[in-house]
Amino acid sequence: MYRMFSAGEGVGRRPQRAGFVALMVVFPMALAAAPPAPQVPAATTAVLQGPPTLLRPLRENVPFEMPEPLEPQVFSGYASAPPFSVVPRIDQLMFYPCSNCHAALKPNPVPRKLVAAPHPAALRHGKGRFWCLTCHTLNDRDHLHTLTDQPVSFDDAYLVCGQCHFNRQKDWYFGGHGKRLANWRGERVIYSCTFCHDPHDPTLKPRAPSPPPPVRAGLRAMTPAFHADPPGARFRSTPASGGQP
Amino acid sequence: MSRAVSEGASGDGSGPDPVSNPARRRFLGSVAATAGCAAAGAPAAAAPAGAAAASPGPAWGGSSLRDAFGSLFQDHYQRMSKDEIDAALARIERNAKRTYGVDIHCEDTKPIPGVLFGYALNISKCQGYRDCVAACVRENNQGRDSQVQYIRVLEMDSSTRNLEESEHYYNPATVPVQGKYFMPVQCMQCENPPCVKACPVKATWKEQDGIVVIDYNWCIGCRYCMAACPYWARHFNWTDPKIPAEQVNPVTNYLGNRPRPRGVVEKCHFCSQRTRKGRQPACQEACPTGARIFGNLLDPNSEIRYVLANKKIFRLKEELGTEPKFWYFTD
Repeated sequence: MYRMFSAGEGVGRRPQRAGFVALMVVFPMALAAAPPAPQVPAATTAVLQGPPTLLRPLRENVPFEMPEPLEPQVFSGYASAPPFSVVPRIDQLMFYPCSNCHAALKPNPVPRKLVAAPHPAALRHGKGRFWCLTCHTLNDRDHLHTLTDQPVSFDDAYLVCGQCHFNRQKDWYFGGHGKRLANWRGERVIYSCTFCHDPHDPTLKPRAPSPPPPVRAGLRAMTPAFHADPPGARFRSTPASGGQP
Repeated sequence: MSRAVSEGASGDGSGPDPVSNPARRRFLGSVAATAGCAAAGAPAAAAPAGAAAASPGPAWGGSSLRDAFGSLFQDHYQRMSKDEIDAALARIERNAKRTYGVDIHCEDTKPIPGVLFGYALNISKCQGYRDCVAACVRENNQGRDSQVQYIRVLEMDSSTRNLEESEHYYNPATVPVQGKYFMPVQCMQCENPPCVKACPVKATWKEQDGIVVIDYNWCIGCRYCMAACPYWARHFNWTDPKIPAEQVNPVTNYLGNRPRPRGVVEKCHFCSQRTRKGRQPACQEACPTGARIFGNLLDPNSEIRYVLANKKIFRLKEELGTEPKFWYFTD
């Protein structure tokens, strides 16, 4: 076969061409005697039919059937995560239900700076990429919403946070992030994200630590002053210390 | 009466001395108590013999004759019968009442079968608050004068994991500090504990749930275990622990947080009085950042197992082969 297509001398060409023509005649006849072609949708057959061809359709190349579009769903959690319940958040919210006021106020979807209480003075979350109505619902202030406009209760705020912070949310579902209440086995009650992270200013703020432990009698704390004059330094004969040998 | 293991002592009840013959020990104890009762009861003939034996006096270090002899002849925890353990618990409760003026409840909490405790600490989350240290001291009745602390939070520079360059006595105005991370160190509850191997009297051992415990009544205070521990987890009571009465935790257990005497070594025991009842250890409950993960290593669905399988974990001094059950991880 290789010799047939290589640039060869003219001496062997005629028999090669004859052989090639014979192949071209015999092969389709062999193809006709082959087992029937697999079921191929009509559209594909029309495409595949054209000039006489050796092509047999590949079984894997079945065209993609677009499934019916689903209703947008809220994330339902990891099946293998240990079951848990979340500490309710709504009773910690001072102004809940927000519709107490907002039922009477006219909804205004224009992004702007809201300075009146109880709105937080600044939204330090997302570096300016979003504003209040990214999470809060315009016409239902008693719920948050996902990016697919599914309502989410304030008790389940982790579903909103997990849309972007999905890696951290996975850790939280499995217990690698966040805080569990009271016991290490049995009923698993965990805190939702917003218990620790204020969603309008999520970074944890510095605070003062508890006092340090006492230094044992006879010892010195290893402060920079200690390292400048460590024990035994004056008894070493290195040039740096300049001490007596 | 020496409680050290003597050469011929086999503990099988056949030797002549009270150390190797528990029956003889109990007999001597009862004889001494009876003789003491008789001696003490003679001058106070009107008082019942029981009250005379139980009344505290300066001759027994503030304790009563019965309790002094009872604790002197008390056997090793792993050899005591249920009645002897109950008597020991009652002695501890009376002692605490005399020392601190507080009614405590001392229990013998047994390990939960099928549980092996493991602990993981997220150094990305630890901010160095030392809330765990304070909670541990409150929960475990450590002396406020000696200021024994089971947990030591180390401030490490971000560029190193060298413990020799850590700062133990950090006290900035606020934490966290730029360029530093914090690593609390406590007893690692090793699977291959060097302290257990070093103890000459076997006062410390590893229980079936993995916690390395100390029988404080058996410890002779030689501090070999402190020399053996590579993590500086063990602490010695140089003084009688002094605790204000309102700060004494009355829920105690024998191998855990019951009030300890002077001259014994103590250490973190994963809050066995809490964890053996399903509660979190005090340090985990106090941590506000949720940096501490605790659970059963034998449960494949536990949080600790998820962390060990999915996070970047390390242990301290891995090369020593102590197999600690305390991991550190980062997010």
